[in-house]
Amino acid sequence: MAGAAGLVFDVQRFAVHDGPGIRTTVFLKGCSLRCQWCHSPESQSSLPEVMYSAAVCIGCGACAAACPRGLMAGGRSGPGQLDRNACQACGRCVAACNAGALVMVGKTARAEEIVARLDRDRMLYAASGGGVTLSGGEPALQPDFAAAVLRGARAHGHHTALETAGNAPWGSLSALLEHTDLVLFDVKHASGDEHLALTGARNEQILANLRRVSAMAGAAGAGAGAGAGAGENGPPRLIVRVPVIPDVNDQPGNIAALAVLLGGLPRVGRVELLPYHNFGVAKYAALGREYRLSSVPSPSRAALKGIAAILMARGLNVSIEGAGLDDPP
Amino acid sequence: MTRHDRLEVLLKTLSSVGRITPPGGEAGRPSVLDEPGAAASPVAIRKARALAWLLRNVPVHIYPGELIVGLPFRELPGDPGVQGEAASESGVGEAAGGEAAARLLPPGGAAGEGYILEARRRLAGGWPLEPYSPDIFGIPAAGAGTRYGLLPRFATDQELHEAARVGLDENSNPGHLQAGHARVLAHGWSGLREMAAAKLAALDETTEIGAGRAAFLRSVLIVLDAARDFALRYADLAETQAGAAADPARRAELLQIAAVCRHLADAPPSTFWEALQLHYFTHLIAMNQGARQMGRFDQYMYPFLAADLDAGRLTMDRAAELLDCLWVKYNQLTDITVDNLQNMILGGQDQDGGDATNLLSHMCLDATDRLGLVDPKLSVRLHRGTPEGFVRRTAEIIAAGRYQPGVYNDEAIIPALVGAGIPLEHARDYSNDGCSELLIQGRTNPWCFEAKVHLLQCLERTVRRLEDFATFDDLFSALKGEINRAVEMALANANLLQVAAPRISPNPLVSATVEGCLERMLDLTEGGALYNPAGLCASGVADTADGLAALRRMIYVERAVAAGDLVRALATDFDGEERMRQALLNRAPKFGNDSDEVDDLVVALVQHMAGRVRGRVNPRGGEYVLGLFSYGDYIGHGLMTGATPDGRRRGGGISPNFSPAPGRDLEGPFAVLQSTAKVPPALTPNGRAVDIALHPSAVSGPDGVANMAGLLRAFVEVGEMQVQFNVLDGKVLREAQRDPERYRNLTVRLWGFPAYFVRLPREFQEHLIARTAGR
Repeated sequence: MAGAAGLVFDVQRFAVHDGPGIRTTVFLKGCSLRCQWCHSPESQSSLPEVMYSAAVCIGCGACAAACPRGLMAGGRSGPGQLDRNACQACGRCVAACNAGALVMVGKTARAEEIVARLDRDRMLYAASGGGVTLSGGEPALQPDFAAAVLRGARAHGHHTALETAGNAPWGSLSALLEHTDLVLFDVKHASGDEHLALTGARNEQILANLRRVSAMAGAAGAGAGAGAGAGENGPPRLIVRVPVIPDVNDQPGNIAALAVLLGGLPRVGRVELLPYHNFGVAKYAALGREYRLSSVPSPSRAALKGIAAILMARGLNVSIEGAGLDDPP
Repeated sequence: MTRHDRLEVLLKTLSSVGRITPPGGEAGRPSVLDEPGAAASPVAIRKARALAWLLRNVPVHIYPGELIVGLPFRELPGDPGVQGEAASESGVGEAAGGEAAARLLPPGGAAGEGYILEARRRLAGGWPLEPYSPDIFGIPAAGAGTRYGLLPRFATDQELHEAARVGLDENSNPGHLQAGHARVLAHGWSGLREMAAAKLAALDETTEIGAGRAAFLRSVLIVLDAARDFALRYADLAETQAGAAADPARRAELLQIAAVCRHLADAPPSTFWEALQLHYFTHLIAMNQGARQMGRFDQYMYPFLAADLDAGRLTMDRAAELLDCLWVKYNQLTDITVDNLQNMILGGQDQDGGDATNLLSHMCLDATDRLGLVDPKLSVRLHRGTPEGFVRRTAEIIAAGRYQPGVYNDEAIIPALVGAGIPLEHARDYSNDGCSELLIQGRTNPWCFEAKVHLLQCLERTVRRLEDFATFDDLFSALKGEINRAVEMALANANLLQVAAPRISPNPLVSATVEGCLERMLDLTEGGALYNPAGLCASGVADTADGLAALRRMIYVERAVAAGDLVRALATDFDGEERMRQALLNRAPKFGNDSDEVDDLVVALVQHMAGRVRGRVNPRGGEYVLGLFSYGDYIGHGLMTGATPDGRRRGGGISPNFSPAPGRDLEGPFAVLQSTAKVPPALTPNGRAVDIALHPSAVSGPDGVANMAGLLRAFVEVGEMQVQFNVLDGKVLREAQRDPERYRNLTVRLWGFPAYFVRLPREFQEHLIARTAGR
């Protein structure tokens, strides 16, 4: 699979919340879920798309003039009125935008390019116990490319982590796991029907994949700082991450069901609770989309601790945003 | 008194703050010119007598609970303007009844304001906007001594007149001086006195050179004798107070203070307490003489600590208490409106290249963390062999938002100093000077910042002729020509100041402490120190390279913009040309993102300047060395600079020190270091500082400290020389602007020192907020 290429929408250096140490997170575009609370809606479509920031726009109208299909009405309101169904993401408006108000989300990148960029931060990974994290979107939807990046990163001595929602064929996912040191597996809801309503997909495939990953997972090292095991090529460690969204998935019934589900897994290093934030709301406007959860608050610390207690009663090792329960928030 | 109680009492003294009254004119000011034979004596002798007069007349005072003593020097002894206005400035509490104010503040003023006022003055006066100073207007910091006690008159009218032409006066001690604290501790004042006396006895005074040397040695003897008397005044005072003390424990302490001071008058220190006290007395006098840094305190002080601990004379608890006492004393000299340069550097390599970090290095970090005071301004030296515990402790304090310590990299700095001609074992004994410049402690008289080149103004002048340049290489050549002129002007100015200094500012006290001066019998202002470098400081490196990169892309490669259009747009501050400005901002790479396209331009610029400076000799016989610093002038320099081709608007702030332009580094802090480290440290032996703003979330959480420590280790590996961190949240800074009362203690790091955010001029606040963009 040398020369594998994929669609990437961001490469974030100095990421400190996507696995141990200081990391580079590579965001692959395209997801098989449509979670209502998704904080990166630009990750969902598996096609490039144009994103517009009104705050940066200087209203010069160059985009409208550049559009070969005449999809913008012109003037300041032009990009806001982009007919997204007709847009083929040719990128001419983006090229014309000096202010950077229009950006193309999703660029084709070759795996070697990505690995070469990772090498720039080699000293940082070595000094902090960090490495690379593939995130998305869903990396397993681009298995050849994702595997090539992970394999290349490992060959260059970097610790590899994979962030997945698990909603992909096992064959695709397992192809990545052999090059992965740590899996960050998102679990959103225990009920298949609810899962369908909230994310657009049922959860049977996700849970089956989770059990398989758990069954093969390496020794359940719970510590987050123990990431310097790159190149040992044992089975990956598993961390389960649960987003906590008030009135969406934090109901006692769901938490209890999740506790049973996760408590029954063969091997889990840790369960991380990720409190919901509405940081992504501006991106919906930038994509000309509606955000449905705009009135949902972040969960309280007490509520998170309550959920953690229920999970811990099942023998699970639980943290909140990566921190121990008694650390100051 | 428990340690806790003592600290509470000591901190209370810091709440008594007096205002310095503006100098009240010459009326009533004492003079040493009337003393017999004064008029005919060399200026060094008269200056020494003036300082001696101050040491014998300046008020002495011991506060409750103090173990280390020494009142900061007043403007004039008994100045009612100081003591009468003792007030509760900080809100911590009222001044103790009848006590003299512990700290003094100048009237009005905020950190960095001088830079802005100077820029405004020049703009209002219609002064030409030049990348160099066409006039000699006096370096603001050259008037160093004035905040810590004015000397009596000692200069003739003719001397004063000539000094005023280069902005100097009787209280100036220009250069960034540093006293040789290690040497003082090793020999004591008495040992230095004996050294000077022995030299004098062997001297033939009949020759002109001999007479000059004799005058220097006598000036040293005059101030050391006065220093002896100064210590004895404190011994007497302590005994008097002991006699009146009701509390027997305090009486015993005061008698011990008296014994310490009496011992120091005639002998080198033999205990940790005596060493700390001698250090502080020396520091007090040196502050008056323009030498304010402590250098490698943990190195020269540790043997005294270790000996006392080994002998069982001292407990760890008492040692920490003595450090508390010293730290509070430093803060009596704190003036939050200015960088008072009370720098201390910890850790690093020993003379053999091994690790020198010791118990005291940790105790100093702990004291700063425990007390939360801004002085001393701490820095650390790291290298590959620095113990993990010390890196981690450093990371903890940075991550906690103490804005200390600054971090230096032995692996980059020591080879750069060796490249500049310093022997390896001396290079390993480097220290920071003012904010961030480099010197060999105890052996150097550095003039590190007086020669300044404003690179962005060089570019501004070059770009006015943009239509003349057919190629980018032509443009770059023309820019080098402008830089050459700016360098020559800067060196000429700095030379004039250095020639003038010995005629008005001989410095017998600091000379006695710096290796080379007694040996050569030459004042340090005349080149007596072992090392005599002078710095040429270039600022605006990042903005200039960003501008060049934009010009190359837009004009010469993509040909998207016509040269004439760009010149006109710059002249009108991009009026009607916002689209062009956005292209300049967004369509060309910016320094600080690990992009070779622009980073290579930075390397070329620095290489060119280093080439112009290399081998240039200063009036003291040392060579000029290049440094990349702006200090607080990134605002003033910006105010005086028109619109520039990096897309910056007229008057906008520029990059601080050797940092990326505000808000333009978008690839994270390590990419910044990768960009800067492309410039070989050997090109900048005077040092350079990279300022990095981190969002609190990057260093918080369970792995926050470990990640910060990882970043520090990576900084050592990548080979950058020096980095200063601000852990800043732009939102919090905005909130602080809206509600300054609530955020009066919010500390930020300026060009090398911590300061209170809400007391900064608005321009500096905005610049800091811009630096947090994209994080």
